Amino acid sequence: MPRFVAWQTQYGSRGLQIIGISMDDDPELARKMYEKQRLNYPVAMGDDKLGRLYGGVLGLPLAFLIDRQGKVQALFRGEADLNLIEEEFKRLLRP
Amino acid sequence: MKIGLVGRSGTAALLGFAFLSLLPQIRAQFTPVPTGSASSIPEAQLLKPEALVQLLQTTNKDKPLILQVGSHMLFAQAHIPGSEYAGPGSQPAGIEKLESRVNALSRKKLIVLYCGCCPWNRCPNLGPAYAKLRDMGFTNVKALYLADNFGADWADKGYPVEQGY
Repeated sequence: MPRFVAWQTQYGSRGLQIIGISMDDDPELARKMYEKQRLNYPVAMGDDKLGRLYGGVLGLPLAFLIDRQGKVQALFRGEADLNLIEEEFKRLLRP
Repeated sequence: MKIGLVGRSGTAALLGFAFLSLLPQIRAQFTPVPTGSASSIPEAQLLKPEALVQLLQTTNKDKPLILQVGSHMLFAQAHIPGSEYAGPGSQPAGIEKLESRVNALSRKKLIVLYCGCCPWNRCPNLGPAYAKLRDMGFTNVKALYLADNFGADWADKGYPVEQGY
């Protein structure tokens, strides 16, 4: 999470928007975490419908990299290499 | 696949990075293995997916009680047919729900717990759920060993799944 906060700070002005989606049952968990971690990006509660729209969520975490046209460019399953994710979105941020 | 998460800010479209997770899990992600994770369950009590499939095919009476102790949303996405949602083991409310489900059962009853939310050593739910049943005196509790998650180690292998609540 600290890395996501840093990314939002560093790359937000270039067009990156991080969106956290909690798949927990209790929104209070998300609220507490949002405040405790001082997140600088929005966090929404996921639901069954959202999970299906994303192709089915049968394991977490999942990270979707979505380009400026709204197309999913990459899907990272599990504990993905954060450096790799950063390289991928930096490539898409290039003008 | 098109996702409606990308908006426009002025003239520049945004690049979106959507991260789906469980918060008790994400707290521990990229950090040392948390205390109380599924790794705390003794190896002798683990049940491999193929062994559970075989058990379900061969057991006629006295079938095991199969309880999913992860998030309800993940249960709705897919679960083992016949299994019941018992509440997330990482949360006090989940442990209470689990306790009330099993309280009247014989302490010798075969109970299989599973989650599959995330990689085994990161799962925040199974360890506490297993410990609760052990503390209640249950002597025949198994934990389904899903190394990566429910999708990779169960659904993708063609084992039976059900969707919905």
